[in-house]
Amino acid sequence: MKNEILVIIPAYNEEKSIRGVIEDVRRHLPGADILVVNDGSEDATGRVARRAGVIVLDLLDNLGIGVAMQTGFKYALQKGYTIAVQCDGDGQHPAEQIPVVLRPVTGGDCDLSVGSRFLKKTDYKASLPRRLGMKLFGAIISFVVGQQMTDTTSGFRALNRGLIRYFSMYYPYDYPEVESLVFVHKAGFRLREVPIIMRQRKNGVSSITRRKSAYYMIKVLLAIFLDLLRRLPKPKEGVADA
Amino acid sequence: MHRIQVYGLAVSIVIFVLIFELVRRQKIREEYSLLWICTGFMLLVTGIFPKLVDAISLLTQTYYLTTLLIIGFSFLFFIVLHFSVVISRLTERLTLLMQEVSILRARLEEKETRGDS
Repeated sequence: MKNEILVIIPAYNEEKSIRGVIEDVRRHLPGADILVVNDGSEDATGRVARRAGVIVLDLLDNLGIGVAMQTGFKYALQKGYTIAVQCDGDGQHPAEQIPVVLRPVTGGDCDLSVGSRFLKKTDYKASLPRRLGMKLFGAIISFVVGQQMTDTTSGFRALNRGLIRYFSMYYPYDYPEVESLVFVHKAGFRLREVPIIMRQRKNGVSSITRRKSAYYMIKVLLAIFLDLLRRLPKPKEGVADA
Repeated sequence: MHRIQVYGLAVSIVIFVLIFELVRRQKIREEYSLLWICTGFMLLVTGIFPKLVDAISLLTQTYYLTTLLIIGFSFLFFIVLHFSVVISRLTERLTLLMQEVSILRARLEEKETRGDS
């Protein structure tokens, strides 16, 4: 069947790792199409990805991962894909685990499945403040969505067409991972976490540096708080295909 | 009439004419100009009737200058706030546009490569 699964890889200045990620995904998920959303990289990310033979969306400027992902969802919606997978471009998300993340969505058990680093014991290491921050987000989100969420900042996800359509219209702009879970819950979609084993980042560093992390925390907390006060639109409110 | 009031009137007339002209020549879009017209009008009124400010000062038991500052600040405040709303809206539109451009370009590329082979 054509246009079934689209693996969306948001990439900003990932010329060193993007090729490896693409090859990995291809090897482990040969039936899927791959889309790299080049978020206004200053390096050769777009060219490298094109040479690797995948679909590339070049954003004209660096608009942030939220906008980049949403662009990918819009593309998926327009081209009629039934399932989208989000996978980072820095080689952190092991492609051999994609089937694990995919399974609950293809099986119809949930609309969004999130790969969690913390459900199983892994050798994933993070600094103490970062771990504490993740714990806090985990606690807040678990409370908000009414189910245990251990890894809210994970960008390793799979979603079905209903949610692709919803995210094409409403998706948080910056630092979208945590906030999007609130969107998903409030719009009445079902989410589920699956345990995955994550690698340490090969190239590049987290977009959230120590200096930015305080801002990140406050920004995300405020966003969650505002989302709770907001009346988020329901998915069925007149959204046409393509 | 005090000399300061003459200056005040002169300045407010200049500002009002400037705003009016910018709106008339469509250098400011109408929907964004309403607040500015209000501001210019307010300035003109206080320029022509400085006693009005005196009356408000007396009523609120503040000084002339304080009243003037409060009026001025509240208008500037609303204008700046309005700008934030406008900028947010523009950013949203720009984002939509850039997303759509990138998708269209990719789909065009697909079509061209398919046509070549």
